[in-house]
Amino acid sequence: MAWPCPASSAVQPLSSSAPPCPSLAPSLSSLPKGTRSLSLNRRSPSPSPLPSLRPELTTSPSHSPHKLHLSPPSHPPPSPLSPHGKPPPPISCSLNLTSPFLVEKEKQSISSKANTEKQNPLLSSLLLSLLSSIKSPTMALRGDWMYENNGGTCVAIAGIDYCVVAADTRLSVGYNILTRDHSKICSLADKVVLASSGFQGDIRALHKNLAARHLLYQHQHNKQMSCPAMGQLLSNTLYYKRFFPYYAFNVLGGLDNEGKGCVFTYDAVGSYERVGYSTQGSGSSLIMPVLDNQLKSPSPLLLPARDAVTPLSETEAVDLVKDVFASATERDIYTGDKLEIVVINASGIKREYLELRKD
Amino acid sequence: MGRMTELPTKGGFSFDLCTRNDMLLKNGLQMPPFRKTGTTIVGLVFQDGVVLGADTRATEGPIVADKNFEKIHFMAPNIYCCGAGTAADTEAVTDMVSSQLQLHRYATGRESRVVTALTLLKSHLFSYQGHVSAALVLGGFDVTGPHLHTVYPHGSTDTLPFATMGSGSLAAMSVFESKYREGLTREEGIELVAEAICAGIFNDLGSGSNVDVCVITEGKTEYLRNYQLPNPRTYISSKGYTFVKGQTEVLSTKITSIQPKVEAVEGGDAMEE
Repeated sequence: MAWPCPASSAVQPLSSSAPPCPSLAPSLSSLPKGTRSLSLNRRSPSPSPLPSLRPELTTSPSHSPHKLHLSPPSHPPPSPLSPHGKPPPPISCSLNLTSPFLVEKEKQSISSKANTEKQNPLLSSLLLSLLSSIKSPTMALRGDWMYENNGGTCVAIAGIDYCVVAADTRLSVGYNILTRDHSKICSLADKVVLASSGFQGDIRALHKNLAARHLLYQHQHNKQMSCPAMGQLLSNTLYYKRFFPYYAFNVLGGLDNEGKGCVFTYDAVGSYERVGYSTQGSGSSLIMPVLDNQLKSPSPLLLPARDAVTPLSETEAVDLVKDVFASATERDIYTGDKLEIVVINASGIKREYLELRKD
Repeated sequence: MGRMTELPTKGGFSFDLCTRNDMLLKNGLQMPPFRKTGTTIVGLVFQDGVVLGADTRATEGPIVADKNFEKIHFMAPNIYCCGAGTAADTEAVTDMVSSQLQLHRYATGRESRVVTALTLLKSHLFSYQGHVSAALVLGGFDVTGPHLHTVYPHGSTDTLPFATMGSGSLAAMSVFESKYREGLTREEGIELVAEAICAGIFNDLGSGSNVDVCVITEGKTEYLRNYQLPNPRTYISSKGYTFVKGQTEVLSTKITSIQPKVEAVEGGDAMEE
């Protein structure tokens, strides 16, 4: 199915405001700062803004969602109606176009690529106009800011033979609550559940897209999609919109082909990893340290890769999730109202609710 | 020869760094967020005096910095002031005017009047041209009767029978506009104020936690701190948490011994009292 590419439609009006720049060729030398990056060739000078490409800095899951430059880091983007007329703190924008870390050699290679790849200037100027709108503190009122953060937090924990996926049910915009009873969790297959927080418009579209793709798969293969397969599909779907991303922070949970718990965590453009537990959304920075402490899994950097599912029982994991959400609700204004907990195990999908603070 | 005379010290804010700050913002610097109170604050006049109310949440961006913050500030024994906006500004301005009122009471030998507090607040806020971000609901009972005023950050004031301020002001005002009438009794007044604050607490994300109420009548003031606690924690794990030693990875250990021998010298200078 052909997706309308934003660059092909009238982008010229936006590009007039973009400052001149080297083309954003999809080469390693111009990867945006903070998107998880892996150097293919360790001997070449490091293209990323990090001084040396140490894997532990680039592949650690805790950094990824916060540093993607297109999406705001830990706090939500400015709401259109800020209470005191003053916009909330501006998002730091760190696209590495004029990075001091770019060596001379790379600058030359970028400019040579600029000549060869003609269509990239359009995409890059669209990206830059997005970024320039990110930089201005009054951006929330400008016509070209296309996203909105509806808040919320999602958590998933993988166990030996179960998986717990939980998300709060509050939908908010700015300082207002839109609804107290909105589910962020989508059951994609009988062993796969997706929880997403972020911009609900994009989340709805993403879930619909994945559900449709799953239906096609079922017709073609006469079976349900497995969790790792859905994980890959989600990653591809997100990366397909690399230059106009889905503002969705996802956590995919389910059982893998062997019946063991399986959790995948994503950033907004599709970088994903299988982990033992994860959290995304506005309360994620409050919850992640607690999960790290309680569910300490072996470091993902040790090879061969070891499985990181927690030895806790299903009831203990659900108890931990409830407590951790109650704590996040105390301190995060965008998390609250009700908690929806979905548990997937061999006997199917089970749903449970917990009341949270409503203030 | 250099200049011998010194410039007189200027009071108030120095705006010398504004150009530099603008340049930094343009270059993508993220300003640290002020702690704002989010807030719902209200006041109303009933038959015997004034009732003030406030929520207790202080926010720093999307995070709750203080779950039980006091927003009703003392100005005089018969005057209290609720503050919304930047927490530091509301605290500083109410403390300052409270001190000025006390000095004035000593000078005049009389009970402070609400209009005195009002004039001091508005002239201070106006002279700072809105940079002191304090939005206040001032209420009290003096010899001329009960008074309720609102003060805006730029220095304008209103005198009203019922008032709300803060991010939750619209939610609270909807309750007041539906249910307020003149000549409310004390119980009705307190109940209405609590209801308005609860509307702010539950419908505005910048306000939350508990309800504080202050009732000021002739000769008597009652500060009902945490009058209502409508938001208890909904779940607490009965298991508790254990933090086993070794869960946090120790990367390196360095032990530096401090001076093993301390020499005591007799007959040094006596310490100041």
